[in-house]
Amino acid sequence: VLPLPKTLASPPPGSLELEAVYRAHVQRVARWVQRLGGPLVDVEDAVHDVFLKVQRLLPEFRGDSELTTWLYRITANVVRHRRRKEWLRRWLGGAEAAHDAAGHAPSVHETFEQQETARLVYRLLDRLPERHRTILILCDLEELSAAEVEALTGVRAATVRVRLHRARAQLAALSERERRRGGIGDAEEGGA
Amino acid sequence: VSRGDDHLAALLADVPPPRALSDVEVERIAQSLTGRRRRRASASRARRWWLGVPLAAALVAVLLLGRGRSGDLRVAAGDTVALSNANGATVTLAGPARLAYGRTWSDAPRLYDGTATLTTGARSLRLRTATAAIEVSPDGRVVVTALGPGVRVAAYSGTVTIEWQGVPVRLRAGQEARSDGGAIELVPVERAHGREPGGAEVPRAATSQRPSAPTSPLAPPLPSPLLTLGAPSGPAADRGRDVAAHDESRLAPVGRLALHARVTATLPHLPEPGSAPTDTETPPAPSSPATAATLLEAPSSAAPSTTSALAAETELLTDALDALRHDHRPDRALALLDRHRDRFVDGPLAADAERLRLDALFDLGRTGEALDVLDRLALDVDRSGRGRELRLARAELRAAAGRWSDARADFDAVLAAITPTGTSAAAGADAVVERALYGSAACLLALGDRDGARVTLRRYLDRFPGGAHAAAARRLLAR
Repeated sequence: VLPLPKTLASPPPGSLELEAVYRAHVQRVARWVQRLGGPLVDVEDAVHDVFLKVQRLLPEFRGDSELTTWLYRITANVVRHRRRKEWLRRWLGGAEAAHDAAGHAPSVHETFEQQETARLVYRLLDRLPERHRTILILCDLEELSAAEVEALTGVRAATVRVRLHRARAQLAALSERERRRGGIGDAEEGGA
Repeated sequence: VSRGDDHLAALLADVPPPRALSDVEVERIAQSLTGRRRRRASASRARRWWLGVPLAAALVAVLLLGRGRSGDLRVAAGDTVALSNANGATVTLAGPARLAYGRTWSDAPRLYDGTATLTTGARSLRLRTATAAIEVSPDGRVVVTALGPGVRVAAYSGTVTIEWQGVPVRLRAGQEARSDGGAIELVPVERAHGREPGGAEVPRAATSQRPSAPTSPLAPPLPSPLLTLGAPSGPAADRGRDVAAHDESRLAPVGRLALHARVTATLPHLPEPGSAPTDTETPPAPSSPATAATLLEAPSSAAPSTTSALAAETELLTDALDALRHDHRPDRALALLDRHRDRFVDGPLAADAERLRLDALFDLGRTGEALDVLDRLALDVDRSGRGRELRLARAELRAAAGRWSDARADFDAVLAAITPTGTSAAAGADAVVERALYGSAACLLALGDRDGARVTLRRYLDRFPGGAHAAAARRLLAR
């Protein structure tokens, strides 16, 4: 059956129960949140915010796009909003204000060095334009193909490749500059 | 694409993979979503404080810096200012004139669903309408340039010249003009108000009697009190906000006529002749608290007039409209509409109330109840764009509920009304056609008529190659 156009019509019955959507996608959303937000985003808080939005918007979801695409967009918006707030908090309250948002304690799988590396990488990523940052995260960290990124974000695969190329070049330049300053080298030494 | 930087690649590879949420975290979020638990109140409260205070301060500053609740537009003598309403209607002010209007975040005067007081020269026109476009020229002529469906202009005193589609129509005291959007009809005022032109009360039964010969019977009646020009005299004239407060010159020249307007919700309709009370029917006792007439404190010695009942009904609907449009409180609007239904179940504005109820239900996302209301309404797609919109909404709701045959009938009716052989290609018709074509194809597909669906989808693509559903239509046709 054709998906109905975006109108006042209610969604197909049975397919969009919040509970079912939550159970099916919560881990996926958590993964996106961590990838897009980096180590400074409180995962549980952000996931909670995402599903609060889902709860509010679900009655309006008409199936114009895939549910995962729709969820990804909500997640990306929530994370972007949180990053902006985080930036504002840091700007207003100093660098230490950012630490209380770090959220979870490191798991047994995460070494201190890995966390430090993640912080450094995301510090570099945050200097990229948003559209380049997102594509690089999805392609190089999440290891999605251009077609998968297209399905998720709606950005055409060809555009994804172009942006990825530019993002890598920018990030390489930034990391090189950082390495010369000693920031990355220190981290690597610490991790070795 | 090559990364071209081994160092960068190694760095990215060292980023730890995202961790999975623990079962405890998943359950904690789930409980919070279902309202069983309030999570992390202290942290979020602190964060809210950080951002809330500057935002609140900014909001207060904006409000204090002149974004008040009302505005005042003055037009100097000799100047003309044209105002565009949100719904496309226009009001032209010819100076010297003044327009007082409510404003929210914009300085643009908005008359849509609002009330404005228009004063030009010695004239004062209070209007609140979504479908009328009115000009008052410096020489005192009232020109109605876009008398929409359901609008009525009534003259209680003096004479008013209405220009309709280039033809001046002279309204005398006691006459009113109505239009279904395509033609204009002049009928006696008392037909809707239960009042003689001179102000004498007439029994309600008399109001149901059709005039034997309307001045200009150009169209079937579409009664709907929207604008009232002039002031009815009599004791009730000073009561109720919909009645003009002063009557400067009954039967005076147009130039000295005080004009007032009252507007209700959209597209009201009068009861059918058969549903009106008979001559032998006595009006309800004024002491009854449930009667609408008591709302306007009608004198206890007199039977409640239909005018005051209408005013009370109008007031209730106006409040509901305010709650919905201005206060954005659809729940309150619904409560008021429930009260309206209790008091005026067969009132002349019952159909308006139902349409308003629809808007409130849609705002609340209660589409199931909205469909119930739509199922009860007789939706005339030929009469107005609003009728088509509602029919289309009903079609989509029916389709969503799996009532494919009913939905298809509605989609087809909308398409038939809007195609070149139908009524008109009004503004926004393309969007309606697009939705209707796509919905019709969906219904055909659901009903197993794949060939029909293909034909409809091709029609859709022919007309809307870049439409919102073009990609989906192409995918389906390619299968």
